Amino acid sequence: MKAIIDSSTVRAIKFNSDGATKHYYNALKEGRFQSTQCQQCNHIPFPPRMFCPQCGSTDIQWIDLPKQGTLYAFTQQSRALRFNAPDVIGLVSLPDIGMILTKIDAPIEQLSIGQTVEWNTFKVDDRLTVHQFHPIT
Amino acid sequence: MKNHKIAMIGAAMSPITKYIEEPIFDLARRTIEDAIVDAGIDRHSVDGLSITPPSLAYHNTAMFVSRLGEHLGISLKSLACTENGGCSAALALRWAIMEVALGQCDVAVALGVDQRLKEMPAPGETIEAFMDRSIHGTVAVYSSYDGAYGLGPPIPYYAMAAQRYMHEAGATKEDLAWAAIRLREHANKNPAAMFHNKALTIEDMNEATDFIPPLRLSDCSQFVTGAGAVVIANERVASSLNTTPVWLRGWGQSHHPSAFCNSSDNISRYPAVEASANQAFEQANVTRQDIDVAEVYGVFSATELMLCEEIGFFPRGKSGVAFKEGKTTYGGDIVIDPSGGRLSLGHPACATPMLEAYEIFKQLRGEAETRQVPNAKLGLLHAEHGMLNGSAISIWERDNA
Repeated sequence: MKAIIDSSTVRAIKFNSDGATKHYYNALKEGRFQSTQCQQCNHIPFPPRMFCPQCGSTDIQWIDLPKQGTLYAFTQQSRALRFNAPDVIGLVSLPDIGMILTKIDAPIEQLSIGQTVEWNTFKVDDRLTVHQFHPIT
Repeated sequence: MKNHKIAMIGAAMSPITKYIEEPIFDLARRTIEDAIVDAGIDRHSVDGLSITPPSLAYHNTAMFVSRLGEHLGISLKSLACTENGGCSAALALRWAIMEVALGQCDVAVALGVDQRLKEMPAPGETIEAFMDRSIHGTVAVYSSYDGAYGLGPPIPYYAMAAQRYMHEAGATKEDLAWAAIRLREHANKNPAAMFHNKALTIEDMNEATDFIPPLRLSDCSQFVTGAGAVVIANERVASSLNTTPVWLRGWGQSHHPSAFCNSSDNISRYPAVEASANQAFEQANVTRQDIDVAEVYGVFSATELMLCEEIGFFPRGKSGVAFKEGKTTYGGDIVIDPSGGRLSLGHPACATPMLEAYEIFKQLRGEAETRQVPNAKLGLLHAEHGMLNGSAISIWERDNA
């Protein structure tokens, strides 16, 4: 079943891509968590965009996102499809960027709002790597 | 609606059930016919049909509205299919209103219908094909970025919004529980409700374990089967009938530039709801206190509370107490979700706004039987899409002639 879900997810991501999706996932595969930054107004959207949603400029560059953020909210799915159950997920607030939906690599009992968390990558399979965050103590 | 008076003249809904045995096409057709009969008009006077097909359950709903038109055997001047998540059926209603306001149609019917599939995978469908279809569906909604995180239904997003609401506004799990309990009490007056005659007490809620923390199962709505339809008419048609029209007083609509999670800002605040409410109240020229009855699209208990605050019925963080103290039920300040709401009426998503419209229509007509809100004159109905990223609110008034 995992192979079926992974294959479908990879194809669904490709099918629902925008211009930034491919670069974004390729960077994660290489261990880099990136978004785009507008070279005109410095705005950093997340998810990445090949244009600036604030000023409309197409003058953008890929940048590395900060290593640490703040845990903004979290929950868990006990009937998880993608990862092992229970699947802890959360929203992490990155400075100046906003909230990012992510996998949390820690039991829910160890989490609290406002904790400092740090990202690393999680390899789903050869074709797909995602970001995940864990609390640092 | 400054220049054109628009009336709701008829409405119908099916009982809300988990599954249905008949083809959904028949349910849709019958609900339309029931609404036309309720309006007391010749079926051939209908010249507009706008619908939301059961697109959450079915993928092949192309030209569903044309097939319905053919099936009904009615010549139409306008047909449309509207889709934007939870707001879909509100937009079908909006389409009917606009066609009548523009003079394209005299009488337009709007329908919302949805169905929970009994067999997943569908008969003859492989597990691979079913998983592929499901995953494509969710990634399409949550984007190629959030879509990788294995969310099926959007419950985790709403759970995190509830957590933030409690964290920021001081709401408690007891507050959430009271929203669920009041809605269940309302459903117990409504024989069409999915959870009719099923008691829910504070003890039940306190003893329940978390489903997706901090939400318990009874904090969540169930995706089920149902259909609703309303008939919209211009002033000439509405005034020619021997029934009491329900007039549109105001409409507001707004969309925040986010699709599911307001990730730039705050996931427990919903500026689109507030903006659409402000527009609707301004156009209607009435106050929050003037509203007698409201149907809101609160798909989770915490969402129900937050919505009541964004619409402006209660201050931030204070809805839970209002629900507990009975301010949102019979004998209180305003009756919120006399139908039982999404939690206890049941939530066939693509039909829900039309079920709300049905309830408001029946309440304002004085035809809501055992759940009638006494002297209901002004009603509000609300729908949202995404996680309240977008909102549509309308205000309706019983003819006082």
